Amino acid sequence: MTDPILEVEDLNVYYGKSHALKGVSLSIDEGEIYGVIGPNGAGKTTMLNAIAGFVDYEGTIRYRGTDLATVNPQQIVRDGLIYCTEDRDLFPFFSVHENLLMGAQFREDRDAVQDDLDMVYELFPRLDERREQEAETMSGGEQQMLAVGRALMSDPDMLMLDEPTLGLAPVIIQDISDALERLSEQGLTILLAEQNSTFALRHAERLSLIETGEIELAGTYEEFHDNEYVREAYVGVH
Amino acid sequence: MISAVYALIAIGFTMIFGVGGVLNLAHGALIMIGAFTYLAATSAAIPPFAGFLLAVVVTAAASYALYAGLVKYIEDNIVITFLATVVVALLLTELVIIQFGSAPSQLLPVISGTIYLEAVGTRIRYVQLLAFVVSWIAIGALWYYVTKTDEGRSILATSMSTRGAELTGVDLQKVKSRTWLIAGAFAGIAGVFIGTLQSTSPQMWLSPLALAFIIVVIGGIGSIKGSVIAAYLIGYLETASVEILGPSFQGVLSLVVLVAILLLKPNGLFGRELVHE
Repeated sequence: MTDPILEVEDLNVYYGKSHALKGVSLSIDEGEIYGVIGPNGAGKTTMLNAIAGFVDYEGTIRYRGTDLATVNPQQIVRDGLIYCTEDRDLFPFFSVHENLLMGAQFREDRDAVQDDLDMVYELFPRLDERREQEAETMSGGEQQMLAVGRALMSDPDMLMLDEPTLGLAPVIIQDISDALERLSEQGLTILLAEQNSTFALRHAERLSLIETGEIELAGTYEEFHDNEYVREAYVGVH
Repeated sequence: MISAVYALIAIGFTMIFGVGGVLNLAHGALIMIGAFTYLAATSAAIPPFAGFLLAVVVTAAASYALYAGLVKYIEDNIVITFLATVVVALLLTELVIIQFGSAPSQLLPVISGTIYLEAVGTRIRYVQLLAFVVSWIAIGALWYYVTKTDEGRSILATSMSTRGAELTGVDLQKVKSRTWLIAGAFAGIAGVFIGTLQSTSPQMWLSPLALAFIIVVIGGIGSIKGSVIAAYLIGYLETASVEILGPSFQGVLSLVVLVAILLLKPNGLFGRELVHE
């Protein structure tokens, strides 16, 4: 058994007097897709923000054995832990191509960058067709593809995706879904935070359910799939 | 031709605002630092060209020191940062008055002589031509840097989305340091040429700073291209005002255009809504 790539232990986040995350712990293995589901406002984004170094927290977060409290957000990215936020945070007046180049701006392996660029355009042909288009003029689905593509340009070992299907048409969700499957086959570790539990259950091997800042349930895909509460409250199957 | 120099000032001003949201009122005082460093250098018998380089280096260093020594620690509070840059501007002005006195000084031109331009039927000073050429070389070099290199592109990217920059591993401190250095170097170039072509006094920075502010608002805050185009627009409007209305009304048409832009296109001609978090 390999060491976990990411370990979160007793994570607590406070926004003023509000206790947003209450003692969250989880561990993610190399190469797996790990799903975090829960309703809007449950604390999924807060957890990802804490891992990425964007909010102060109590507890321990280790990535490849390194305590992330000791490194800044830039170093976390350079170490291969890449975050695709719910807002996507693209560079709105840069073209698709420039946005992708920004994903690789810190890399020195220029030949590999070119290979990754080809890989991203092959993974998302819509981006290839729109290389010179400014990001702000693209549809939500195309922007989501660009956000994932930009993250891939950083040569990630682990990708954190926050609500990648939010507000997208089913046909686009299928494109994102296909891309995730291909990336997973290539060995990429993915932490997937989703309100769309059906989507998360389709991809994740293990999952956690977060409600009001606490992990209510953690287990394998099968355990979640067979859990009556999850099926009724989150998947809509009775 | 002086419009290209104003574009340099406006670009520095708008870049600093773009990457950090800082309204740097001390940017004008940096122009003064450039002019007085050149004055001190040439007074000490340093050749004009070397004095010019020294002025650019000293002003860039002063700009960086202002960021690294002060602004970096307070930039999260916009109002305090704004007020602190005003205090720094006034402090530098007083220091210059103590050192050089308050009377205007005459700067030795970096290059002497005049040339008759047949095409436009007018005689101009070589230093005017040099100001134009050097300013455009600086603008061209900056344009290449921010559009063709990863390091430079990171500056533009940060001005569009700070969070996006963090997500792509951009070192924000380095980006801000580089931006203040570039803005300072541009202010140094502008200081020497404005000091030579207009006047060198402790108050010399007020008018260029006000003009830079108008240029940035008209061109669109955060836009380098907008600053260049607006600088030329303002330059032509000021010349037209003098010719049509007389020297006392130099700034009238610029103000009319400023008000019109604020009413019709509040983000400026090339304005981009900044995505600061």
